[in-house]
Amino acid sequence: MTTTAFRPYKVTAAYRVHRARSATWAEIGPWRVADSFGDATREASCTRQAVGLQDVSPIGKLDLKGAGTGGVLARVNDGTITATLSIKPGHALLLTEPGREAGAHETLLGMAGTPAGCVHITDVTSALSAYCLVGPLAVDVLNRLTSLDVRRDRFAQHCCAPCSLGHVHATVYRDDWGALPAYLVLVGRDVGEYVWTAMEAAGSALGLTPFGMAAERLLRAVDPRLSPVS
Amino acid sequence: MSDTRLPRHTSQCVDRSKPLKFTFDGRAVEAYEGETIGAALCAAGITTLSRSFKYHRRRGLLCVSGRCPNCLMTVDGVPNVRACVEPVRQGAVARSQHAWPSLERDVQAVFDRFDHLLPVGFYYKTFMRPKWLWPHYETVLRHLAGLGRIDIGIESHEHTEVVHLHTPLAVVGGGPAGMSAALQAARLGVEVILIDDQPKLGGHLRWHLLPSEGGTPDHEQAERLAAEVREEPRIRHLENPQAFGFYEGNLLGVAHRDRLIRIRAERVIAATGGFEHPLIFQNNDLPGTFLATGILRLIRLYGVRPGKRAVVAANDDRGLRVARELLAAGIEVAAVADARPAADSEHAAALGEAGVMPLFGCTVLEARGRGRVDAVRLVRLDDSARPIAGSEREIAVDLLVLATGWEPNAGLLAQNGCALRYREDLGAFLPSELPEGVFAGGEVAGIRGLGSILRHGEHAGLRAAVSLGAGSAADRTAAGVEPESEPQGLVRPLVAVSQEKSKQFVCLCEDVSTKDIRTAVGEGFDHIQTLKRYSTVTMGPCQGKMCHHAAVSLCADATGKGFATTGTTTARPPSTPVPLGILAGPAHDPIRRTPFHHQHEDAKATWMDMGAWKRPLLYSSVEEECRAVHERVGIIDVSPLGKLDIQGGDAAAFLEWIHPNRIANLKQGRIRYRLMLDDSGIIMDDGTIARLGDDHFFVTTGTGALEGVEQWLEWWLATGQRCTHVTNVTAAFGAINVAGPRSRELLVRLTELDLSNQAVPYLATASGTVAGVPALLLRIGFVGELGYEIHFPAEYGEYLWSTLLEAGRDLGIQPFGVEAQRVLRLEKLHIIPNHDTDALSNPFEANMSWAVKLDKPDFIGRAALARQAASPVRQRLVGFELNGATVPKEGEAVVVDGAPVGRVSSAKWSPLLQRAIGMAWVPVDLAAAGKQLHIQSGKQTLGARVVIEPFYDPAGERLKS
Repeated sequence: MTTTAFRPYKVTAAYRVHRARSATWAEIGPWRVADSFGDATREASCTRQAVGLQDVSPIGKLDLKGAGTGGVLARVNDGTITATLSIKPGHALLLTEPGREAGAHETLLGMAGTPAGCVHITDVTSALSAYCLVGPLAVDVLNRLTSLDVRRDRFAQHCCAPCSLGHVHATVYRDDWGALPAYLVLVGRDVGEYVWTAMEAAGSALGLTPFGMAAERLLRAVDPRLSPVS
Repeated sequence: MSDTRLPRHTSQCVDRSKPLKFTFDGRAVEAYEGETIGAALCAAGITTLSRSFKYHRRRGLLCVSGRCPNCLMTVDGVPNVRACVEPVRQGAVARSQHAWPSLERDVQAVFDRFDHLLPVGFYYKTFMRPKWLWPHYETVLRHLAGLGRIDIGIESHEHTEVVHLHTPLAVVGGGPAGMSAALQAARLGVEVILIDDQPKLGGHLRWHLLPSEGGTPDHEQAERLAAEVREEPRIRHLENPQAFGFYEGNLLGVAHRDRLIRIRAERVIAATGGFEHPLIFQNNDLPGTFLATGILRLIRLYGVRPGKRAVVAANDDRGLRVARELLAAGIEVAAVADARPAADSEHAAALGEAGVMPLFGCTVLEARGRGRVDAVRLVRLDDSARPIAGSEREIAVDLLVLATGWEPNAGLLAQNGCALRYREDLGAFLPSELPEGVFAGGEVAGIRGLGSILRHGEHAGLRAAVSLGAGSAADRTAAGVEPESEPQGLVRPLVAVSQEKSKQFVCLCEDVSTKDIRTAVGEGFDHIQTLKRYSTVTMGPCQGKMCHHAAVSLCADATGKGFATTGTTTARPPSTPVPLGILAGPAHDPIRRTPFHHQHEDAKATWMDMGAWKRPLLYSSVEEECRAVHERVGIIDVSPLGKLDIQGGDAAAFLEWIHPNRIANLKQGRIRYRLMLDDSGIIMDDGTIARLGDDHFFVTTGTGALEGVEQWLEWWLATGQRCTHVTNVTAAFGAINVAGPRSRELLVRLTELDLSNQAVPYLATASGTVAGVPALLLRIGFVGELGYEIHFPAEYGEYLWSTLLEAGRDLGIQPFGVEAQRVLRLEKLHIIPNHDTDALSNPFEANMSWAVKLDKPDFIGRAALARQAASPVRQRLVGFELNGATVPKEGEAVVVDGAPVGRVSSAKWSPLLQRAIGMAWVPVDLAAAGKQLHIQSGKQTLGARVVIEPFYDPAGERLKS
C-alpha cells in the first residue's frame, strides 16, 4: 500500500443518522454531504411552509482570541469569510465557505502578525457541528430546546448568542435566507449527533424535515440568497 | 331524558348527539361528549365519588372546578385525576381509590368512630414504642395513608416537552377582566399571550344565565368578548393550560397537557378571579353539599341537575343570585339562609316575587343524612355571629348550596412576592404592593360587579401597555387614573358557625377538623406557619384553596390576634397539581460520541458510560485484547481525552507556573508528562503536554477532568494580562492509540514519516499524514508497549479507523477497550488521578515526587507541598499482587488485625501475569516491597504482597524500543 493511494473522506457527526434516513450524497471536496433525503422538492416545500433542518457542518470555522481581535476584524476584507460571530470582547468566530478555512487562516495569521495586538487563531472546523434551521417555524423548534429569546424583533439578523440548547452548550446565529427565517446552530461535534436528533424530535410535531443540498438549490432558485454551505 | 338532565341550552358545552360510555368501579355509565366524568356520575345519580384521607368519610362533588379533593379517582390507570374537570372519553375506566373493599362499603370508615385515637399530630406522638415495632407500624400506616397509587406496571407512552415562550405581556385568566385587559393592550399594539385554564374563555360569566347588567345574559357577554379575542391577531390564546408557578423575573410556569410552557413575560397581568371555600358546620362534608359556583357549573355547562330541593346559604348578594339561578333551572329553593341582618337588593326582591323570602340573620348549623344530604338544620345568629340556642329549624332537602366564602385567587401573585393584606369589609386577603411589571385586574384585586371588573381589567391592560411604551399621551394620562368601581355589596364574613364537638372539617384533603386546629394551637403551634406544619392543614392536594381562609380565621380566633396579625401561609409553586413527568421534561440526555462510535457499534462493543461519553469497554475478551497489545498491535479509541490548544507569548511561562514539573524548557517537538495540583498540593489531573511551537502547546487531560482543567486555566488567566489563550479542541480531534510491538510496522504502511526510534523517540511528536489524513503523532505509552497516539481532524474518524484495521489485518490487529486498557496500565502501575487518588492525595504519597520541582521559584501548590515535604509521609500508594485468584473490589479495606488501615484503589486480573494485581493506599510502614497485606473482600480476608516496581517491563524497554 503506498501513501498516495489513500482517498480520505470526511463525514459530519450526524452522517450515520442521515444514512439511516436514506440520504443520497454529494461531495464538497473531501466532505460527504447529504444531497437529498429522498424527495428534494418535498424537502424544499416543507422548509418553505414549515421548517427544514440542514447539516452544514463542513463550513469553515476559525476561532479568534486576544485583545487584538477587534482590530483584525476591522481590517478583514477576505471574500472567503461569510460571517463574523462576536462571542464576547476579544473573542470571535469567523465562518468561511467549506474548504476555505485554511486559506482564511493564513490570511488572518498574516494580519495578526501586523501590530494589531495579541490575536491567536485556531481552526475549529472539526470541533463544531453546524446545523441550519430554516423556515417560518424555525423559532418554534428553537423554543422547544432553548430558553434563548429568538423572536425576530429581539434577535435581529446577524445576532449571535451562546445558550444551553437541549442541555448542551450551543451558539445560535441568525442568518435569514431572504424572507425565510434561518438560524445557524453551532454545537460541539461530540454532541452533534445528539443535537441533530434532539432537533428532529423537537420539530417532529411542527413538520420539521431534514433537507439536503438539492433542496437548498431549489430554495435558492426562488430566492438567490446563499446559505453558508453553498 | 332522565330527570337529572336539563333541557339543552346555549350555555352548555355538551353535545347530546354524541353519547359515550365509560365505567366507574365496573359499573357502566352513560355520558355525552363535552361532559366531565364528575358531571356524568352526578347525572347517573352517583353521589359518593371518594373516601376521605383519614376517616374514610364519603365525599362527593363540591367545587366542580378541580380545586377540592373530593372527586379524586384513578382514570385509565392515572391516579388522582379530578373527575369534575376530566372530560369523558369513550371506554374510559374510572376507579375509586383509597377505599376497601369497595367505595360503598369501605371497612376503613371505622376510623371515623375512633377519631379520638387519631388526634392531630398523632404520628408525632404514637406508634413509637416499642422501637422494634416501628417497621411494622410503618408498613401498615404507609398502606393506609396516601391517595391514589401509581401503577408502575403501566409504561407511560406520553411524550412530554418543554416550550419556552417570550412575550411583552402575559395575561393569566380568561374571564371578563383578563379578556378586557388583553384586548385593551392588543389594541394599543402589544403582543399578548392569554392563558386560561378553562376549555372556553369567559370565566364565571359562562355559568351565569341571569344578566349582571344591561339585559344581556352573562354567558352571552362571555361569547361576545371571546369572539373579540379570537379576532384580535395580537392575542395568542393558550387554551386550557394551568399556570401553576410565577417566579422571579416574570417567569410563568404553565402546564398544558403533556407540555411545560415556560413563559418569560416583560409584563404580567393577573386576572385570576376568585374562588369559593366552604362554610364550616357539622357534617359539612356530606355529599349533596355544593359550593355555589360548583352547582352552577353542573347546571349551566353540563345541563345536569344534582337534586330537586335546595337550601342556599349566603353571606352576600351572590348567594341570593345563585338562588335565582337554581329556581330558573327548576330546582326548588326551600330556603335562603343569609347571614346578613338584612339586604336590599334586586335579587332579594326577585326571590320574594318567586315566593322565596330570604331568612336574614340565619345560617347552616348542620347537614344531616346517611350517605348524602337529606336535611339541613338552620340557626339564627346573634350580633357576634354566634348561634342563638333554640332558634334551630330543620328543612328536608337533597341539596345544600354554599355561597358563604369567597376569596381572590391571589396565589400566583403571592408566589412572586406580592404581599397580601386582609380587607375587613370583604373578609378576604387581597393583593397589595405588586412587584414591578406585574398588574392585577378584576376580582383578584377585590373588584365586584361585571361593569367594574371589565373597566378594571381594561385599565390593567392600559397600564401594562403604557409601561411597555405603547399608547398615546392620552393613554398615559388615562393609565394614571383609577377606574370607577361600583360600591361593594354588604358582606358578612363567616367561617365556622358551631362550637359543638362533632366533626366539622376545615381541611377536606387531610381531614383536619376545627377541633384539631384548636388542639394544635393549644399545644403551642399558635403561629400560622407552625400550625400548618403540625396539623397539615393547607398541605393537601387543594394546596389551601378550600381551607386556608378557615385555618387563618380559626388560628386568629384561638390566639386572639386577629386576621391581619395572623397573616397567611407562604404561597409556593405549584399552585395546582402538575404531573412530575411534565416538570422533568423530555428525556434530553446528551450523549457524547467519538468519531468512531458507530464502528464500535458495528463491532458489537460493550459500552461503558464515562460522564456523557460512550466508550467501548470490551470488543471480545480482556485476555484476547491484552494479548494483542503485548504481542502484536492493538488500537483503542482515546478521543474522549481532553485536548486543549494553548497559544500565546506567555503560554510557556503560564504553563510552567501552573504545573509542579518543568514545562518552559520543553523543546519543540517533545512531550512531557504533566501533573496538575490545586493550591493545597492535591492532585487534580494528569496528562501530557506537547510543544508544537515556541508559543503553541497541545495539552491532553483526563476525560472527566477536562471541564475542570479548562475552567482552572481560564480562572488563573482571568487574574492577569497574560498573552495566553486556551481553546478546547477535544471534539475537533479524533484520537487513536496504536500500541504493541508491531505498531510501528503498521504505521509505516500508512505514512511517509520516518518513525524510527532515532527520528521519533519516546516522548517525541511527529506531524504528517497517516493514510492521507493530516495527523499529529505523540509517542507515548500508557499501556506499556511501543505506541503512538494519533490525533487528527474528527471528521476523518470513520475513514481512518477502518483504514487502520484493514492495513493491520495481517499483523493481527485488534481493537481493545477500556477494560483491557485498565489491566495494561495496572501492569505498569500507571495511576489514574481521581480514581487511584482522592481529594486528599498529594504527589509525595502517590509516589510522584519526581514530578515535583520544589526548586522552581513558584507554581500552584508549591507552598503547600513545601510544608508537606518537611513532614513525614503517613501513607503511600503501592502496587500489590494477590496470593490467590480472587480479585478484590475497588474501595475494599486493607486491614491490620481486622481494623481498616487503607483501601484498594484499583484491582484487576492480569491474563499476562496470571494473577490478580492492584494498587492500594497503605500506611507508610507497610509501603515496602514484599510486605504482606491483608485485604478484607466481603467476608474473605485475602493475602497480598506489596510491589513497588511495575509488574511489566519495569525498565520501560518495550516502551522505548
